[in-house]
Amino acid sequence: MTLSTFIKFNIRYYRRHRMLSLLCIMGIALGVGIVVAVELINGSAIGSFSAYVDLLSGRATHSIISAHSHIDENLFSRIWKHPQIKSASPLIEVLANVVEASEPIRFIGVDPFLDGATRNWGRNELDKASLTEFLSAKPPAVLLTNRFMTAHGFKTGDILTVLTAGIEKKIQVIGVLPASIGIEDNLALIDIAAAQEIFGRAGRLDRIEIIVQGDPELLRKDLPVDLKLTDASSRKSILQAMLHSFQLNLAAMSLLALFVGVFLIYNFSMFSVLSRRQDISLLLTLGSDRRELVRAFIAESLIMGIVGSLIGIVFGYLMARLSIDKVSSTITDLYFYVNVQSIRLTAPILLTGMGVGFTATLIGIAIPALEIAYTPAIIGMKRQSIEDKAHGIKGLLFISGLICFLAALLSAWCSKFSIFWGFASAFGMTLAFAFFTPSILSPFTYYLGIFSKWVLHSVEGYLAACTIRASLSRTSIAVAALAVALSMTIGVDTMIHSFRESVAAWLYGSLQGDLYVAPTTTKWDHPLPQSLIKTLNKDPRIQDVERYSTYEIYLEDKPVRLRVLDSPVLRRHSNFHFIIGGEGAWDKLQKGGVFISESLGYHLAWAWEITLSCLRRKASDLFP
Amino acid sequence: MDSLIRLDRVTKRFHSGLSSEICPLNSISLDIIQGEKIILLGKSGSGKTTFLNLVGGVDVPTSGDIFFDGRKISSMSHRELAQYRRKEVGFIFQAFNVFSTLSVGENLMLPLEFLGISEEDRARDILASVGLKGQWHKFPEQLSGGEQQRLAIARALVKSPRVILADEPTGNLDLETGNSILELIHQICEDRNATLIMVTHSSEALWLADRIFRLRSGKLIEEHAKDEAYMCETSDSI
Repeated sequence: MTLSTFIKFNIRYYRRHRMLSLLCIMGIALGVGIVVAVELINGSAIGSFSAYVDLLSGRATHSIISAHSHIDENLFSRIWKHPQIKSASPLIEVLANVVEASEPIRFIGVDPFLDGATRNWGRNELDKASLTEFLSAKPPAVLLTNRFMTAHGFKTGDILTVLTAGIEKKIQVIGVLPASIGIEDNLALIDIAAAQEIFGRAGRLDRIEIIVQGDPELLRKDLPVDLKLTDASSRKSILQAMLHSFQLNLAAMSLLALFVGVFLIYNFSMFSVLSRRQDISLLLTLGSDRRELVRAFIAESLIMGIVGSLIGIVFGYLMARLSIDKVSSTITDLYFYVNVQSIRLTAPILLTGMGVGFTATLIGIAIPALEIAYTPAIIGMKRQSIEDKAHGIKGLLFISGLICFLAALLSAWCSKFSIFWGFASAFGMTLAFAFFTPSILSPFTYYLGIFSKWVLHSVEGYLAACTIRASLSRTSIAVAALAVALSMTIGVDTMIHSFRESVAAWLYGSLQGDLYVAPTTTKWDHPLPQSLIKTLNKDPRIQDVERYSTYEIYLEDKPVRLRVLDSPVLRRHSNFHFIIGGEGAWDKLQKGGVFISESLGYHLAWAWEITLSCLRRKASDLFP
Repeated sequence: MDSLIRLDRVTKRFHSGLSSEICPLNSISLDIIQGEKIILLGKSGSGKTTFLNLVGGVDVPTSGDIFFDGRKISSMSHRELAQYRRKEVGFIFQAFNVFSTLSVGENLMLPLEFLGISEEDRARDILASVGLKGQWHKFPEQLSGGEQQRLAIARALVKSPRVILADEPTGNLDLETGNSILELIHQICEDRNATLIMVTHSSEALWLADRIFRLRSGKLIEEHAKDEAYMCETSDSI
């Protein structure tokens, strides 16, 4: 068959079965679209995050951070003079709101004299924007990214308002950050002294970026006990590892969508093969080679796959564009600040989309292609023979389902070792129930037919049930696809409901306040003014005021949030359920102990003594 | 004269259900020469179509051998069988079996395309010879039943096969159209010296046969006179 005849042959067939063709293409597009969207979102989030970490780290080989959030500024000169350090640059990093922009922006406070050795925006760039102005302008000077300025119509010389802990501070735009820094996010560069003043961090540093010239271990030994030396790459990889589980969740969801897509592809392909079985037999009788027919079928399916994949890529891109803000804010809420301004459809993502579409298509058409390979040339072989086969293998499928089910249970047990096994379990379970479908559907439709005929007296119902049972090769796949889609929806909904329940329980147990007063800037970094606390305490309409602050500390090299609070107030109003410790834990808390969450307990494998003593010591260091 | 087709103790068995077995062809031997026209009679389910399938290389015998021009087709590979069907065999079916998604011209060009031939004139000539001149661009559903069968005959003949296997070609046609189709098949076979094996229930077709056979209980019985065959055919029908 020549290519033109082959194309005509198929185009006319697909034109006659428009809805089915559309469904198949949409099946591929759905799977590819979600995979591409997740890839785009993950890639953009990682890209944004990595660019930012790279920018901050610059040429620094290591960072010095505090185990309890801030470094005493007085330590800097001692560290800087250490013989193992070639250069050091102090840094302040704050997320704050710019009133005129109505969106958060990250302020990076640097010492321009010391920072040049570490980062690209050193003295050269600042010379252009006038170093003197940068250091001494009133109000304090900032350099902004071009994107942020363009987006909000800011220009050099504009005076902007920063809202910090309920207090408005003014800043002055003196220039644009060079594009060479590789970041388009909301970023402002400010002198470190000005940052300390504006953000209430006098005498404190967030981090010291250093270039080590000798043995880092010697430096590590000499550091005060509450300071940690981390190398630039390990810090990035720890943060990336945190993001990994979030991305794995998204990837698993996209794979489930792909799973449904494969079912749709299979169903359409099987239908197209079965409905053209007569034609296939006829072509074989006329002398067509069986391999040519299989090749032609695979080619036509792959053309569908290409069309579906291309639509899926466009669909995925649009979906990513629409959801990137939500995902960014979720990552920011859960892990760390990311601000993805754009998503880029790169060649690897395009190839991934096409590859996924091709693979899904090949999996979906594998059995129909085999059907062609074994279709006899004898014209008129009845379709029933295929259904006989389908009925014949339903026992085998049931056993396969049972194996998948047991494997899924085993994976579920293994999920405590790695989240991967949790997802493997979900997939195994889905596959198991897909395999069970023919065995369940066949007797179900049999009794449904009897019920329709004898109880409902519905001949139409009886015929419908019989037809479903008679076409088990296709109907069971359609039912399995629907079941997977439905189970996915119910599963995700249950998961979200469960999260909500957990949050509700946590709110009920820990937050008893009627009103909450918090700074509008960085979530926990800004102390509220003391005068406000005093005013609130004196107000006769207020029964209790519970103060709390949250700090990011490091525990076994992983960031942990430490909340410091008025324990007597909390005790009066909270409704905690202790897994370990009981009511006596409240007394221990007042004596310097800490409570840890269940999830942190699991994370640290319930290493109680170490964890608690470590936390207790650090907490007492912070608040003697 | 050397035989073109030779069946040597050919048996075909089918499984029906788990235990029962049917044997429509039981140790059949037959020699057919080039240009001979054979008519095969028999009741429904007697194995007539199975016989055609075996000779046409779309099915394989359970035992025995089938030779075509000295080549053993019963032991050919799938690819060799495809080549054999492509070059040597033209099929005509009761249900026409033309591709509804292809035009008349495309249907006709299909066997030539399998052979790598792109001579449209050849296809147009054969189309004219079956009385369908000017119908090249039409689709099968725009043709009558008789015209569709003419198209099927044209498709079977366009590649000039040495053997034509016709399975009740007039079964779906009225008497007048059926007769015109039979005359057409006869004429073309005469013109091209093609061997014809035709399965039919119609006594109207017996006149074109050189030899007539009947399949009964798995055995092939030659009828010695057309009248005798006609009488048996009539009694079979009853």
